[in-house]
Amino acid sequence: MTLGTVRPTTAPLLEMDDLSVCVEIKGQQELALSRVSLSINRGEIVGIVGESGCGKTMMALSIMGLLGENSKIVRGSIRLEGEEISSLAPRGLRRYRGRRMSMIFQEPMVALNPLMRVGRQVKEVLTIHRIGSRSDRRRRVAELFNQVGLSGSVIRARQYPHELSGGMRQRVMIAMALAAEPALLIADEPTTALDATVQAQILDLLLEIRDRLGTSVLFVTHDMGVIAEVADRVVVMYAGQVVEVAPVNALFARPMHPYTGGLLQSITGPLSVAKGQDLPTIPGRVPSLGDIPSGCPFAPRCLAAQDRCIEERPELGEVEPEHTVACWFPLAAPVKSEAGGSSSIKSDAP
Amino acid sequence: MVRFILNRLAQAALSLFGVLTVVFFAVHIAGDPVRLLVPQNSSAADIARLSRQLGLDRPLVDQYWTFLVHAAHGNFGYSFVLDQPALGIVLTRFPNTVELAAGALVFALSLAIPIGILSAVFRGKWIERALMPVILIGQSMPVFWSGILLILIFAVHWHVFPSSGQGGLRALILPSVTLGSLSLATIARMIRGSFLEHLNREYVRTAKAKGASASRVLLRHVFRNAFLPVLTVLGMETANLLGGAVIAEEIFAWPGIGQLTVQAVQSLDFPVVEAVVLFAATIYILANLAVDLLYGVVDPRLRHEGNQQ
Amino acid sequence: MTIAINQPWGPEVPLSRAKRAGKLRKLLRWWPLAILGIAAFAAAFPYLLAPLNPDLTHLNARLQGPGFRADGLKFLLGTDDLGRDVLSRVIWGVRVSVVVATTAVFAAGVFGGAMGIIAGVRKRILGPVIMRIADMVLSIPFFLLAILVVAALGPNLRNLVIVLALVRWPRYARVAYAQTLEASEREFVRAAVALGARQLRVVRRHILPEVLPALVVIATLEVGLMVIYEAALSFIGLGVQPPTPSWGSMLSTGQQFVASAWWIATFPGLALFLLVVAVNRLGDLIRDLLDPKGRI
Repeated sequence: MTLGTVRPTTAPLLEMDDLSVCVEIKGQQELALSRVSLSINRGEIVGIVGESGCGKTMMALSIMGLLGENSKIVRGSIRLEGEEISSLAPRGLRRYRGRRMSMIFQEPMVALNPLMRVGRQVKEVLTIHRIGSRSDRRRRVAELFNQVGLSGSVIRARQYPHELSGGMRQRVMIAMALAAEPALLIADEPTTALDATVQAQILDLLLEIRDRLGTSVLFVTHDMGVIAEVADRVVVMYAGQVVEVAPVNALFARPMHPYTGGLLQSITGPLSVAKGQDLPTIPGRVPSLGDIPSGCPFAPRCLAAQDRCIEERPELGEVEPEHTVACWFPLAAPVKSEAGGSSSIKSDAP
Repeated sequence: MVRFILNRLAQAALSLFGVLTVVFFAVHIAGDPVRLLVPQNSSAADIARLSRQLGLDRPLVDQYWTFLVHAAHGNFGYSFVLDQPALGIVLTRFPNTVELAAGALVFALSLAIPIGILSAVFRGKWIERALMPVILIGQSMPVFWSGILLILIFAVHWHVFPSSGQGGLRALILPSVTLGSLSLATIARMIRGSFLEHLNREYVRTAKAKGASASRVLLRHVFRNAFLPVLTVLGMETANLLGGAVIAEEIFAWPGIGQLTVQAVQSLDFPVVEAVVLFAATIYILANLAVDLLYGVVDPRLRHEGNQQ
Repeated sequence: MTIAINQPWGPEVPLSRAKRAGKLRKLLRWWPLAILGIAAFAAAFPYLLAPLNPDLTHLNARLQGPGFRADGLKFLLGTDDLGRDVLSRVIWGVRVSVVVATTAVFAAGVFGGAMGIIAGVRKRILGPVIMRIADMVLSIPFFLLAILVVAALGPNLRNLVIVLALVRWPRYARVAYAQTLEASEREFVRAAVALGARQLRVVRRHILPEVLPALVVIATLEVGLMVIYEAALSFIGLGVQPPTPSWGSMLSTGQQFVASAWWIATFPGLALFLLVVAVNRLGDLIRDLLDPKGRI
């Protein structure tokens, strides 16, 4: 395997540059991801946030090379540890999947093979990538089960997915994802399908893994509360575009994009948002593919939108160090959670 | 697991009872059963005597009960033509039908599995477009025509295979191909559908995310899952095989229960027809029972059904 | 609205030509209708198409191959063992196939559909009883059951239809039952019942529209099967009785003379095959149209 020259550890682990992904819907090519750039440093947890349909999962899948048959990368690059992976043939990409980067999914109930013992499913990663001897692998599986907090690892490993609870299945998924000690772990809404206590346990587990193994994590979620708990840096997406990037503290203290502001209010407000519902603080919904406006995609829902927002699309620009936003009229002052309702967005806008 | 087996056994017993009931009423409502049970040239006195003897002058419910009791003892009456117990005749012929059906199933499966899988994996590609007509033709080809065509080509024209009779592998090939082609289409369709569905399941994405190769994903993950529903179809196909055997055996003069049926129909030997139908129904029910039990072995979710409480 | 900026994958592909080709292809997908149209015409007016009287025997022209001429007549597809014209018999034979298959499907569909709806509406006693009987009928290999019942009833056209309907109604009943249950769970149907709508009205207004498309899908898939089973019953002598021309009995004759007169079996078989292929393909198309998600 040629992984190129040894790179200084300060270089980002993952660099996504100017990535566009097209989806074919009814014979029409629609842009699902539009010129998305992103980087993840080693040991960093980057949160991707946005309502469903914003392209978060699409982005995660395009890194893994798991886009469906109807979607394809039409522009841009993805580099993992300095190697270009977006243009690799399936055979080449397989060396990275599971070994250098791995992924856990939203629904642990259906993400495991129902007819295979969970231990074997974890071990399969080692088999595929030819890691260790046969007995090494067995030991490693037991070790992984302990590591992800599945007690009685020997018995657990011999069980089938349907015999485990949702939380335990997600732990199995995590064990599987960690088996080959990848540099990057992509977690796509890993806790959405789980109840609150289990959710907290899984988040703790992911933080612990990062601290112990130095694994970088790309954490995809629609839940700002979860972001606050785990992420170091946050990427806010809307309609297939990155609208704001900032360190987690800066983002929560000074959201610049009206959309971010709305998302934040939705967790600090009295109502928490159920999956798939309208955000109470932002009227309307994410535009579907093919209906994305040519100006700022958020303009139709934005209370501060002006003529320019409808006519011209804003590019990402730095408003303060490490804090970029794609908005013609970014929110200047921090949004106070006490400030009632969405009117604050309007009054804050210049 | 025990409860699962008992449950399926009870269901099979109930089906068997149902078959007897349906056959009894079909025959009794259809017409005067005595007319069917006596040789054609019997006198009116003979018929009346037999009617009394068989208890056909008694109420229908009584007769039904007697019918069930007799059936439970394996008594399906006597063949007029051969003057032997009808069931005995069926049983001596049955092994030949099993041989033919096995040949047909081997032929069907060995083609249906690759065709089904390839047309699912290469959906929308030329391979699928080439294979789908094969399925459509197999599905639409009447057994009695394909059989005659095969004889015409391979027996009459080329003399490669014998045109009729039983004996050795060479004699088995044409009847098996004839009988198996309908099952081939059905099974291939089913496999294709099941694979298409499973190829989009989340666990397949998980396997790909592990770095598994396409063949590994297909063989280790999709195959077992997607083949489960096909098992059910295999059980149901026994009905097609038994029904189709009537035609295939008639064409190839294959001495199984299918040929027996035609001979019995043509010589108006009604007890034998009845015995064949009841026997075939029993086989069908048992085959489906076997498939259900096999499910229990293959699918861990069913295996633990009883233990979970 | 499309995205005006950022179209990095190049200019839009001109669609007009591709679209027109696609339209033609879509139209050509309906080729089965052409075959079925011919079959329907032949079934309605066989005397317009058939060159000769199908029942007339020509004893000096027995077992003659295609293109044979005698007595100033031309036997385009040859003659059978009684010297009858194969082509004319094939054309007249459509009648039996079409009539038996359509009436059997219609009878089974109406009876089975009604049974399924009744079972879905009367959930307490009648429903389970009906569905149990349906299961029992389904657990008998139906071709054998058909043989038994025809043998009991005596072979003729009417009985053929009755038997095919009797052995196939459970398939419709099951689908109608499932659809009825699904429909009666709907909010507006529940509301209608709660508001005191009469049962018959609920069935007619709300349940029937849900059940009918499903029945049509099953029916189209069943027609081909019925054509084959009519021919199969005729083949073993349990179908329409001679001299009425039927493809099944022609094939049976052809089988006896397979070594000496291949045309007797080949042409009725080909006709049968074409009809069944067309029906099955049409069934698939209708299914795609009415049931795109493959629910039934």
